[in-house]
Amino acid sequence: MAVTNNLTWKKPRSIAIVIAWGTINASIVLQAFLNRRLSLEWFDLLFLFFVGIFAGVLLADVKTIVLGIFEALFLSIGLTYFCMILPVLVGNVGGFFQANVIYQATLGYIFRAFFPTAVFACFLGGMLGGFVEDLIL
Amino acid sequence: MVLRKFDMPTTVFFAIAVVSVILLAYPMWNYTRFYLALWNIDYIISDVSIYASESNNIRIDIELLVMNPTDYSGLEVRSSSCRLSYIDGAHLVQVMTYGGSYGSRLVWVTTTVWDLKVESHRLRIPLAPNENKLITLPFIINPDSILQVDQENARAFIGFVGTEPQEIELLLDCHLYISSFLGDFDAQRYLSYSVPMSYQ
Repeated sequence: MAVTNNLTWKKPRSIAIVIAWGTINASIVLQAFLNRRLSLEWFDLLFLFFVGIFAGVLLADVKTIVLGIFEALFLSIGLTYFCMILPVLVGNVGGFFQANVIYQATLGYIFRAFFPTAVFACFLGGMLGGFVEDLIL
Repeated sequence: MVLRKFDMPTTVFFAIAVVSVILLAYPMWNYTRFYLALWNIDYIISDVSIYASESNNIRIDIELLVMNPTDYSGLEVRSSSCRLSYIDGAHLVQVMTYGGSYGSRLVWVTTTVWDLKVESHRLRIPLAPNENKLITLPFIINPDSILQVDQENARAFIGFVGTEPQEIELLLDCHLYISSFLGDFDAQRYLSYSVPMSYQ
């Protein structure tokens, strides 16, 4: 019975970890964007790396980790984009800002922020987390 | 109920995600007002003081009132670059015209606007939400300036002040560079101000 329960809850657990991973990544990038400039500093990348390790340890299985990295990145890019275009969605833009200009500019900012260093930090962190889980736990 | 089914590390990881979202709430709320703030930022000339010194220099202090009427915090007036002119009798100036069948060319036009000085200032003045800030831009009118154009403009202005006009109408073509997380934005305004003059 316990084994059945464990198997039943494995998938929702992985989904929850990936959602949390993507959310944390997005908030790290957005904090960097909104409180400083449109670029990630070394400590932001370090945060992304450590979050990746934590998520990798939790996901454990290499196949799940690799899938999780892509899912979490996709989610974090989507969340960052949604948050960055939020002023347009709520109608809080002034007269000389056109919505499509903000949409396109936001894509550019996000691309520059995530690729390649942030993606690399997440990937490296996730994989390292998987190895740590294998070796220690 | 769902969290109770997860192990402790997963719950901690989920809690970190929730905390990160909570920490993002204020910056996000602030950001939703960012474009409105850039649109609504405005400035006017609130006061002008003209001082004549012993060494034949004239110092013109232009006080700008910069207004941020929104709730957004995170803007800073980084620098300014302003061209100061004044109104006097008509004279001819060469102006470049663009477009048309003749293309661009220099033409002579009659104007009463006399150039006085272009000055740039480094400022770094933060604009808090719903705050009006006074910024003083000093213009030193020096007839012994290194630049010949400044020398000529200064002598013409000193000659004009020597005629003891009742008031001097100053024109300011001002660029204030507003710094934000998205980079610097140029807030340009054409402003005018009449300075009543008194002579001893």
